[in-house]
Amino acid sequence: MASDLEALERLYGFVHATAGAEIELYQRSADTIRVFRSSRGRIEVTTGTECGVAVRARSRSGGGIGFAAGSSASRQALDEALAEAVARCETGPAGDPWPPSTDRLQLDHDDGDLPGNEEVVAWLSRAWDRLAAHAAGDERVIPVAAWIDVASTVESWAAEALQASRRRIRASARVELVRSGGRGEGALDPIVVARRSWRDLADDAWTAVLADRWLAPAGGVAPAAREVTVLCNPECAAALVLAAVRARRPATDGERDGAAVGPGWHVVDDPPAPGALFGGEFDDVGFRTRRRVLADGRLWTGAAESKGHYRRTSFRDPPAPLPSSLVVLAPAQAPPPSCLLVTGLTIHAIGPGWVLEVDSAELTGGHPGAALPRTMLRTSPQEIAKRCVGSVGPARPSHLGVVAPALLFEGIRTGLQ
Amino acid sequence: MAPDGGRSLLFYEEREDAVVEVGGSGGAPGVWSSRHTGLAVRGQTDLALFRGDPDPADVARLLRGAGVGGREAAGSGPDRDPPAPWPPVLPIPGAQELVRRLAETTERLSPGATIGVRWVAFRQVVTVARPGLPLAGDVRQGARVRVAAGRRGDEAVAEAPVSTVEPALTGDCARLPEEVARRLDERRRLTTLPCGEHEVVFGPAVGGVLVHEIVGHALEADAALDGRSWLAEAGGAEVATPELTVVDDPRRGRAPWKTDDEGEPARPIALVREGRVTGYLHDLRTSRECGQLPTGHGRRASYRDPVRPRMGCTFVAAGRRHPDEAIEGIESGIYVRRMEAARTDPRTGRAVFRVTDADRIHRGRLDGALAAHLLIVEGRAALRSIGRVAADLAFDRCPGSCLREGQALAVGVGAPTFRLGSALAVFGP
Repeated sequence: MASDLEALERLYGFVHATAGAEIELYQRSADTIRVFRSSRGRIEVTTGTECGVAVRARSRSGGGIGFAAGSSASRQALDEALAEAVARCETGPAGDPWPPSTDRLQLDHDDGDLPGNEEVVAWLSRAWDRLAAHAAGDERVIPVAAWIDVASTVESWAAEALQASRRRIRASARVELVRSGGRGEGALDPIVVARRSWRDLADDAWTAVLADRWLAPAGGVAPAAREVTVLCNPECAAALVLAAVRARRPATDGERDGAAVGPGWHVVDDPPAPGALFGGEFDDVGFRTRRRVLADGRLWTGAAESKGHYRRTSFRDPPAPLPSSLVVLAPAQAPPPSCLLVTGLTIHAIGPGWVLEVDSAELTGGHPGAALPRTMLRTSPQEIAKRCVGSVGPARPSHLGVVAPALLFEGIRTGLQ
Repeated sequence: MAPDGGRSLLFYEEREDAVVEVGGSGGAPGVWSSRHTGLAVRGQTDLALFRGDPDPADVARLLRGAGVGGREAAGSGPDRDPPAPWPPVLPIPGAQELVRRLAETTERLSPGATIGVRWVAFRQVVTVARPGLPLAGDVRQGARVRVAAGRRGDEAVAEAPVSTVEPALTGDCARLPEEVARRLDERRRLTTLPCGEHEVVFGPAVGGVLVHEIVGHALEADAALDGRSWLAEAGGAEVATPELTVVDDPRRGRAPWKTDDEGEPARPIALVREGRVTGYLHDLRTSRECGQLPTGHGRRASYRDPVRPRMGCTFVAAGRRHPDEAIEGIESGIYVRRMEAARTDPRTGRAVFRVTDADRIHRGRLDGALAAHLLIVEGRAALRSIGRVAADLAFDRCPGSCLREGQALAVGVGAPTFRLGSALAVFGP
């Protein structure tokens, strides 16, 4: 697909003159391939193209914002969306961001072409077979369902003194697994991997994640209720960091920048970094992205809630400020003599606190012991940040867009009491 | 059955969504809306092609690409007309006024609380063509208003939703601010229980969330065929107390459909009857593989997604008891008013729920509000311990969407008051 920037600029020039409001146009078209494989080997391919245009309008009196979207970039659809957006901007919320006064951006990076359907199906088969061969003693993993999505999108923005366009490819693959033998049958958390381009999605991407999770099959005894030192593998650390950053709402919680964090809680949102999964030169509104330190190992210093950090999931959804490309820069430490190694994690937010369901094992002298029964940890987003003391080993990218090493937390409560 | 075995399919969708909300005290309503059209074509193999905003030439092109001959797949037959080409615009101006009024009333009744009011509406018109069969179509629509209030610095949160299948929202919204204010006041002082196993009573409608997760997902036929269902192994054996009957009827609830996304008429299916598994939810593919009739449960989140068997409105059939009997005799337990699913494993029947509003049961009576907590349920044990099913069947008091394989669908649930013998409750730190 070619960029529609020039066409969008022409449309912008027309509607801007007639709208009676300041407007922003966003156009997106996407070619996607999704391949599904069932446990019985059935392959299902869904592929196609969609496009859409969104209009945000801000009243010239400085009032509210209106948003409308339609699945066409035709003049008629644009006119309809524009009329709806302008009609609503009289009652929209105040304080919505708007593009800077002068910032003309060029075409962002280009990740190459979409693969063919056959190529994607072949990838799925190879990765499935690799995973199905994974075993430890008599314990095996059995893939039961898998999906792979590859999308090529072209996005263009037009607003006052701002025109931008980019083209990119994203590939992600998810597999659901069960374990049999050894500890008996049970579901494992799905494995998801994502890359910036199709060519970076290696056949062994799933098995690499599984290797990080895999524990000796013999069952251990759940730890008694007490405070323990916890080492989260990179995949679990990424999930914790993202959830803690998203849970933080300084403006509404009364929590100001400057709240204390632990020495290992050094978090940066860095969308312009080369290789950032959801990053790029500008965000999903068209603002130029920039690196922002959210916590520096002593204090919370900011939030990803301003220009350069906006994301939208499609043309249908208004943009929202979200951390897109977190990088954890925790100081390295030697592994503690003993701790609880967490290799699987589900975060349950209940009230202001968190209950973490974890797959874990005792780590002694750097060696993991037997897998423990599913264990509960009780904490909160604030406590997780405060109790992070450092990292162990190299950082790894996750499908969440977070680059994190294994993280060490002291004084986390286990058990139900 | 269609000449090609019912495989090939043409699906055309027109959809409009709108949201109006007030997120905080004194804030003006935010409004957004979107509309799209799309076409999907599935061939005789498992290959599907789609196109957003299609023009007439796309139909023939997609049919050829999917390996379907052009003319025969277009459908025919005078007995059913296609739906209107585009629905009227959703009543957004009226919703803005409604949201503003509800927010003002809630603020007046709950001074100092953080207020949220959200109106969500959708309207979807689908047209389905299959070889040799009359054109089928359906119009789905619904609206929901949620009023919520919370107090900063503590856990006190209350909310009350109302849903209707008319986008104009003729449901009774006026009572919501008062309901929320009363519950927020009741939740000023929260207690907890020791973490561990407790008897649990689900208030009217809430237990529908439980059976949606541990029964419904396990009886979606593709899960059973692919070895991902803990109930599929049961055959006709008794899996639950004879008091329990679970039905899925897509024609009921807050987001009903009469015809599914493959053109099949929706019909109610008894998933569990008097404690035994009696039915599965099918789309065309699973019904063909199982040698069963389709049930009209083939749904897709949009033209971009593949069809799967999905739940419509899953509910526990009414029993004969008085609701008070469910609480009677419980020394210490939990009365759940509102909850949502957090995690479900259809292969094992284990499910985790976030309980956001509940009361403590003490010596057979409700005794103060409980803090938010988790309920962890093991399907096998849970279904056998359900009892004291009351006659007060109600629907959709904690509505939500069902997310499966990344496809979100609005669903309904219902249940009368009933008791669960034991579930693991975990309170926060």
